[in-house]
Amino acid sequence: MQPEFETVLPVYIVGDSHSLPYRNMVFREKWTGAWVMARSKYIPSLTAHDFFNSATGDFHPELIGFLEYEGLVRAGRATHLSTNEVDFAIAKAAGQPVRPPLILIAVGEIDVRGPIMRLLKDTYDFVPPFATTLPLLEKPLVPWDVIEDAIDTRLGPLIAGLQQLVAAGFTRVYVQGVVPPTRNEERIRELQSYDCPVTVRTKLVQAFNRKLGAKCRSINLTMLDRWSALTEDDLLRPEYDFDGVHVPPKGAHLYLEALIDDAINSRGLVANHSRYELYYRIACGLNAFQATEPNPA
Amino acid sequence: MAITSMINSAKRRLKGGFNGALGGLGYKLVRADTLDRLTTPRSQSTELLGGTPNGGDRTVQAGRFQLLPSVNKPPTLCTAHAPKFDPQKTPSQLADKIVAFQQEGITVISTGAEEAATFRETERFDRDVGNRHSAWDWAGNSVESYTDDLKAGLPSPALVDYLHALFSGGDFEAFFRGALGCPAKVANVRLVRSLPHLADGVGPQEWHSDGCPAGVIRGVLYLCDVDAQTGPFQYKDEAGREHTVLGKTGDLLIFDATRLLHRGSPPSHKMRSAIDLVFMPRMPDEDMTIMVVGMNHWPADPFFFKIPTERPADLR
Repeated sequence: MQPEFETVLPVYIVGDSHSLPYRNMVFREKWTGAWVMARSKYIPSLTAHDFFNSATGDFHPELIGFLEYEGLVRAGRATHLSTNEVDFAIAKAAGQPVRPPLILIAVGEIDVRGPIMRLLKDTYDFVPPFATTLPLLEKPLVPWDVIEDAIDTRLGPLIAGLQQLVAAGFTRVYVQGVVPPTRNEERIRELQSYDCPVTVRTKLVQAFNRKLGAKCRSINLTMLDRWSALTEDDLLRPEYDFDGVHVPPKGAHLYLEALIDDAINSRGLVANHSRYELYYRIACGLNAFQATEPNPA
Repeated sequence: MAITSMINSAKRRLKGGFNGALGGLGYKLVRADTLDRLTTPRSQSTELLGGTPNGGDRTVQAGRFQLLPSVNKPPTLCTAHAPKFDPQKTPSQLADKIVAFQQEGITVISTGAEEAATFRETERFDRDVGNRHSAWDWAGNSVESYTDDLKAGLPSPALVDYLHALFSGGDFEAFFRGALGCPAKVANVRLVRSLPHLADGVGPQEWHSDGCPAGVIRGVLYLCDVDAQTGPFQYKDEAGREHTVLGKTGDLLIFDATRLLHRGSPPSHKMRSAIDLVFMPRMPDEDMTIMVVGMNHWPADPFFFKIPTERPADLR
């Protein structure tokens, strides 16, 4: 009798330290019963701003390194769409379906906690252009357009990089919304060497996520939003405050569930048209690689 | 020495004048725009190349931390590798249908009316259009049903056997070799019943293109007579003209669902029962198979896939 085995559905997670709670996570998703496995890469201090360099077209080196390590990129190309004979042989040896991979990017929290929050510290508050349950403090106000400009500046390289990922054929990319910040004011003082009230920090994250979500939608990507599950009255639920910065693995699991819920219903994107072209050519008795590989003869 | 110096000086003046004249025309030692292109960062120059379909051009190289563009889009014509069919050279019973398919992107083939009428009565259209066979390796409908105006069903073993015999026959073997350029197998078969309604159609009752992968074509086998009130199949030709395909019980429409914008029009007064089929290429040494995969369309990767299993309805 042949031993039974299953293969997992990999989700490739790359980002700042918010990718860490996913490490070694496996679970069965509810839709098909498949095992989902997080394959994660922590890139220390990765920010939205450092994700991609629009001037040179370079991604953060460790991001490309991760994609190469996982076999998703070879010689600067998305391997799942490659019609190169070597990539075909690799896929054949693996013996598994070649699908557009599910990728989750976790960046942005350092951008908020660093350069954006520094604009306000404990000195200012701001009025966001959306309804919020959070109170306005008795502090001088920074105009919204200043905050907005700061957010846009940090998000610009990330969005440009996401566009490049899509253009390279990675159409099933998700972005994790920045997690709600800790209520622990001392922890922020310890991290940042200055104070910033939780209501102001939380509004900043809300504002950042709204911009991030809208920009993701504009390029047909999805930002994963589990705000309502992670918060109570818009503030982080204590059970999800792991260390004053990150959510615990059970919080990360919520994001991964949201990704799976979206992806299972977006399977129009799953077809691999490059592989079909090869398959069709072989079935027709044609040289599958002739069209794409110059014949040295 | 003096003569040599004079010659060198004359050479410099000549070069200077020549380059000056070239400079006025936008040239340097190389063309100015060529120089600009050579000195432009790679990202911009690769952007100028546009998307490379399926990563085909291996001569373009990415920088160490860059990604080259590549597209994952369906072809505009799903039967591009079928040679132009010549009925004189390859005579067959369905030769005129192959010609029609190649010219119009659709053809109608009569099959057993009696059998179709029987299956209309015996098959069970007992499901909604929610996808209970969701699988990560298959493109397909959403898990939740999106309309109450359509009913679906899984074919009985008897119907699967009937279709297997039908499509394994010499006529259809020849048809697919002519229309597709290779043998075909059935990637999915499902029952679809369109209930009469006056509201606008949703899903397959809206004008759409399927985005089928290369080599994948679709079929609809009418299980009832279809007149204008029964929700006939409609398509738009390349000139945008609308065509309505009325038909008899047993008529099989085979069409390129990516080439033709199409819909099953909403039936206004009478119920339409049909079998929905997906055909995909089959390797020459492969046996004809009929896959039953619920509300899925086609495998994500034609080389490797499993037949999805069904989940209980209450797991949604």
